[in-house]
This record gives sequence, C-alpha cells and structure tokens, in this order.
Amino acid sequence: MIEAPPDIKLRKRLFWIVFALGLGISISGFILEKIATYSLLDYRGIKFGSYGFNLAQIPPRKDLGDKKVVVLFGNSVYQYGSIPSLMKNIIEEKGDPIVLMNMAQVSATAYDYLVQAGKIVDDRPDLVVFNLYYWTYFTTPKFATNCDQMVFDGDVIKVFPGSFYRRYFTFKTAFPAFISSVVPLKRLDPIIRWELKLRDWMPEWFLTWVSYPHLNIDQERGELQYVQRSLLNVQQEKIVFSEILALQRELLNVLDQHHIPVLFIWQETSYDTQAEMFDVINQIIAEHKNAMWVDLRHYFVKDDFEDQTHPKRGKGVHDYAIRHYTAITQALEHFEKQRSPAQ
Amino acid sequence: MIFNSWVFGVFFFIVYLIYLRCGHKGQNRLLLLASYFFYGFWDYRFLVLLLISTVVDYMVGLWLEDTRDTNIRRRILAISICANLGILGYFKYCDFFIQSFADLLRLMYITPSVHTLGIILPVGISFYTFQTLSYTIDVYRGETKACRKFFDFALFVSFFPQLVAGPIERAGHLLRQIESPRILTFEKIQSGLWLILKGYFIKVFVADNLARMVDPVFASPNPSGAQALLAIYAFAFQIYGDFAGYSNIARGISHLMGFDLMVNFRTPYLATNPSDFWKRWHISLSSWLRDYLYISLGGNRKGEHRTYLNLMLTMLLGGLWHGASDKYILWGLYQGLLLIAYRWAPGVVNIKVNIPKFLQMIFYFHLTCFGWLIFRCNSIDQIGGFITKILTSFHWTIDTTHQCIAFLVLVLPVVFLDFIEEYVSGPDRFPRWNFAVRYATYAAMMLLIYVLGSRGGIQFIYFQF
Repeated sequence: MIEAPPDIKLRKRLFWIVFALGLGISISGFILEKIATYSLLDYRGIKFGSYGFNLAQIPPRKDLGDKKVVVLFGNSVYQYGSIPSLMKNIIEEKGDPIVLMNMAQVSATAYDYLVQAGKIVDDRPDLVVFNLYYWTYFTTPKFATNCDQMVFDGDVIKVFPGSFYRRYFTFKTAFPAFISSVVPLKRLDPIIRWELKLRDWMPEWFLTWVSYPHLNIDQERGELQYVQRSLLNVQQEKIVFSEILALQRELLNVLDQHHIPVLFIWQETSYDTQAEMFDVINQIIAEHKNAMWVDLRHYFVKDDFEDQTHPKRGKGVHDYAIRHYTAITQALEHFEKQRSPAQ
Repeated sequence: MIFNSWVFGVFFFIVYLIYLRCGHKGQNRLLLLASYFFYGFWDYRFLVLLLISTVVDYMVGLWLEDTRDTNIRRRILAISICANLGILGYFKYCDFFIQSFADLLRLMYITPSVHTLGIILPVGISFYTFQTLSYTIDVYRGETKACRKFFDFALFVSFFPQLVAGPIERAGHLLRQIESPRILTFEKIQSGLWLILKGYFIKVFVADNLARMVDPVFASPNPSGAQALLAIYAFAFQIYGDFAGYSNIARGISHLMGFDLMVNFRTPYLATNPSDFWKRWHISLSSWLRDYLYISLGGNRKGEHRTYLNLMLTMLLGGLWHGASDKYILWGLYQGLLLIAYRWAPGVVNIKVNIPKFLQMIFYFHLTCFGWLIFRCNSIDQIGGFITKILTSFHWTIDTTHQCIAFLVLVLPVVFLDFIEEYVSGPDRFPRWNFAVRYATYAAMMLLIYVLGSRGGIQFIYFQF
C-alpha cells in the first residue's frame, strides 16, 4: 500500500488558502468596480484614463422612459471643457427627452474609441458621438492608451473582431491585458490611490527621488515622443495610418452590427487637418448608413481658444455648445427617420 | 517573465495550485513544464540551448559513471566542458573577442574590417551553464552519483526559481531534493513568505528607487563630486538589493514548494576583509569558482606565488563571468589584488593595532564601493573623472541634501534588516519578536512596496550576466 505523504493535510489546506486568496483578490476587484460607480470625469488628474472604465452610471433602459441616451466620446475638449455641461443645461432648459452621458477621455485615439465603443454596445444607446481632434486622431493609432486594460473584458471580447486581437496582441502582450480583466484591482489602483490621497504626506522633492507608480503602469512609457515624431511624418506625407483606417472600419462594423447610430464631429480645433486625410476618414464613414459626420472646423475662432485646442470658459463657448447640440439633435432625427419606414 | 511582474504572479499562482495537488512525480513533471514555459516566455528559441546543455550533461554523467578508465573519463569530461563553455563562449564572448582582436590590430596600425555577429545573449546562460558543469565535474570526481532519470536531471538544470539568476546550485544539493519527495512544513512556508517579502522589498522599494539616483549621474557628462559619491554609495545598495532581492524571492518561492536553495547573500556589507566578503557576496558563484577553478588550479597547495596567481586567475574569470567587457576584467583584477594584498600584508607588515570591527567594516565597505565604481562605469575614463570630481569639486546643494535624505530612507531599512540577520535571526526568518512588532514590520514593508515600490517590471541587473 502506498502511504500518503506526511504533508498531505498541510498541502490540502494550503491549496484552499491560496485558491481563496486568489479568488478573493479577483472578486473584490469586481465588486469594488461595481459598487464604486465612479464617473471618470471625477478623476481628472488621472490622465489617459480607462482605468477601471466603468459604465455603470448609464441608467437602465426601463428607468429612462422615452428619453434617448446619447453617449459622448472624445478627448480633453469634452472631458475638461464646458461644452458637454453647457449642452446639459440646454437640454434642461428646453426639456428635451435626452440623457447625455459624457465619457470622453483625454488624448483618446482611434484605438480607444473602438474599445470604448465595445464597452457600451450592451447598453444600446440611441446615439454615440465621437468628437474628433486631428492631432490625436491622425498621429498614432495608440497613444498612452490604457484601453488595453479592457479588451479582454467579457462585454468587449464578445463583440470585437478577431482581426483586432490578431493585430495587437501576441501571447506575451495579451497576458497583462488579460490580467486587468480578471483582476480589476490592477486597473482600479490609480483611482484607489487618488481616493486615499497617498501622495499628500510626502514632500514633492522626495517624490523626485523615489517613484510613485501604480499597479497599472504597463503602457505609459515613451509614447509622447513617438507621437511627436509620427505627427511630423503624417503631416508631411499627408497620409492616414493604415492601422487607423482598419480601426475606423472595425469601430463602424461593431456599432453597425448592434444597430447603434454614430455621429462623428470634426471639432473646431481640427481646423488645420489636411484635406486628404479628412476625406479618407469621411469616405469610410459614408459607406455606413448608421453613421454620419459633421464638420465644425470652419467655426474655429482663434480668440475663443486658450491654447488653440481648448475653448475658453464663459459665455463665448455657449455658441460652440449650441452647434454641437444641434448636430446631435439633427443626427438623432436623421437616424429616427431612417429607422421609421422599416418599423 | 520576471518576478516583479503581474505575469509571473499569475503564472506562479496557477503552477502552485496544481503543484499542491500533485504527487512527487507529478510535481517534478509540472515544474519541468513550468520551467520551460518560464524560460521560453523570454525567447522560445533559446530553449534549444537549454535542452542541448541538458542532454549533453545527462549523457556525459551516465557515461562517466559507467567508465572506469581515467583517461577516457577525462576525455568524456572534456566533452561536457567544451560543449558548455563553447555555447557560453559563443553567445557571450564571441563579439567581445572579435572586437578586442580588431582593437589589438589597430594598435599595430593594421585597420581590419570588423564584422561582429550581433549575437543576442540568452538570459541566464552563465548561471545554468555553470550549474550543469558543476554536475559533470562532481560526477567525474565521484562526489555525486549520476542522475539516471532524464526528466529529473532536466528539472535540475531548468528549475525556474533559480534558472535565470541563480543561486547556482550543486547536484548534491538540488538534484537530491528533486529525486526524493519534498516535505512541506509550516516553518518552511513561513520562511518562504518572509524571504519573498524581503526580496520584493529590497528589489522594488530599495534597488529600483536607488536606480533613479544612480543612472542619471552615471549618464551625466559632468556630475558634481557630491552627486558622484552619492551615486557610488547608491549603486552599492542598488546592486545588492537587486541581486539579493532576486535570490531571496527565488529561495522563498522554492521554500513554498518544499525546496531549499543555498543562501546566496549573507549581509555582505558587514564584511571586514576581502576573504570575508566573498563568503558573503554571491556565495554560489564564489564557492563555485573556489571549488572548480581555484582548487583545480592548485589552490594554496603549490607555494605562495602560485597561490597569488591562482587567486588572480580565479577573480579574473569571476570578473569575465559577469560579461564581455574591459570593466568586468578590471573589476576582477581589482578583486584579485584585494585578495592577494589581504593574504600578503600580514606576513610583511607587522601591525599590532586592534582596529574595532565596526571601523574595519566601514573601511572595507569603501574598498567594495571602489570596486562598484569600476563595475558600473560606462568607460574607464569615467572612473578617473568621478574620483577627480569627488576630490576637487564637491559641491553640496539643497538638492544634494534632499537626495541624501531620500538615500537614507531607502538604505536604512536594508542596513536594519542586515543587522538583525547577522546578529539576531539568521538569513531565513524575521526575529521572533513581539507579535505586534513583527506584524507592524511586515505591514510597513508591504505598504512601502505598494506605495513607493517601482512598477513596470524593471529588469534585474544580474539577468544580463
């Protein structure tokens, strides 16, 4: 008879302890992410977001009655600027049955837009708006993106094309992205730090000699120089990266398959976009009947913008908000009409 | 896949869970598979080298054991030595020797057209080559029996916790543990967890943060004397934290699986002389060099001068082991000189002054730091530049004061841990102090790792060797 090893009991116990510990860490992340229901707009200090991107704040359909849900994606102009809040004021004043969900992320690129779109298809918004800025849109398909952290989330993986995963992930690079999906504490970490104010007790000079990193640091190094270099190349050669075109097509296909209408706004500050590049993107949009674009570039007035990019706060911005809002309402009407004969 | 990465965390979690449910044979197969996956994660092509080393030495071991004729045995051993050193030499030193030969020709006013091969260095090659070489030499010497189970031997060569940065194990120690069932005990788990915590602490909190003080100064064309001095001290603790951190994690992980790897660092900066230092620093390499090179050369059995020569050759090879570069040879030469001087001086200079041990430690620490300056410098000129700056333009600014405070914040915990290891607890456990003190220390270490420990999987310095 083979004797049981003398440490069998200890090993069994240890197995369950380690298993419970792993499971506990993973589940606590999911719970924390769900119950926190934070808005990314509350964490403006956390740039290049999508850390623990949580869309729990989209109200369930049944609570909305006949209101239409419009999801805003975009860059810092929407995230930090006052256009979205002014649009909300307009909605309140007019009493329009529209709920505006602002989920813009500073420096978002085509890659981020696709992943973010993948995150919201289950919520079936009535319109998805992408506010495009040529600088981040054309310079690089991926910037300091942390949208990688979401691509293996259940809701994203089920709607995303295989071509996307094949293009961006090898076995090695998929691993850290996958971990973010199964252990969400990794991507929640910057927000937890923000909440706990861990930096506050350290003098600034001390932080020049020690690092203050977070658990989710994988993707952030050296991207800016890359963007600056590629910006020059793209502008000189007047080309759009083929990768951006592929992402654009995938984005439109994903939204098309779920019958979600989409509006692209060429924001005012994209005024110096090369015509050749602008046309290439618009042609792709025009191929999809659930998509349209609106060009607001010719409304750019230099004095209304602080840094050639972000509109100044105050009354002057109101006109910009009205134009954005009008574009949205017209798009809603357009897609409503388009849908009506079929119904 | 490095220890301070998420990928490794998940990898080990899965491997460990399965390991705990397997029997002895299953554990060994699992560890072998995991080790090959671990190594292949860097570059699967280099698995072939690992396999070649394994197959050659496995066969050589069996052959040696079945052969009685001394001359044939010697030739068989030569096969193993040539195969292993051949692989190591080609991947690690080929380009260096081509370049050095070309430099030599240039000195003779011959301008050769040089084509280096641009060979990628397989990670950890020096470690596993030395480990597997020690096996065949031990079998040849009759100090260990040849391993008859191929998979067990393959695991001995590739055991993942120590595969890429040591400790360089001996067959008599690790292979025996692979062959017989390991017994897991509560004490082993406890010491394993402590070693892992300590390892991560000195790697990600101490060493990686010190790198922020060291790298810019060594990259700067014109640092001040104060910056240069602080950078040398910081590098001394950076390389210690980095390497000892890795060794501690490797040992801790092994303890959790019931293995016991050899102690690789034993409070090296508390050494009072070079001989003492090499019994404390990278013990697995220094003992390897002693057992397989120094003693094979005759050790101290062939007279005084030959002993000096043997010491110098051993340390030169030790320097060269770190990499194909002039600075490592110079570092080896310096270490050799220190050992020779230490052996030679008492016979020549008769000083009968009782120097306190503490002062001896400080003095020898500074000699070690000079060695680290050679080791870390980017060029031989930089060594002179740093020393000149320290002696002639020692500008102390408010920034240096801040840097100094940060340095102390990072280094004092290491000094504290070394002192308690040396004088209170030994290498594998934290002292059995009051419950509250112990857990407060653990919590503080974990908090510092979480808040200020560097992320993003900064490579271990010794991986390049």
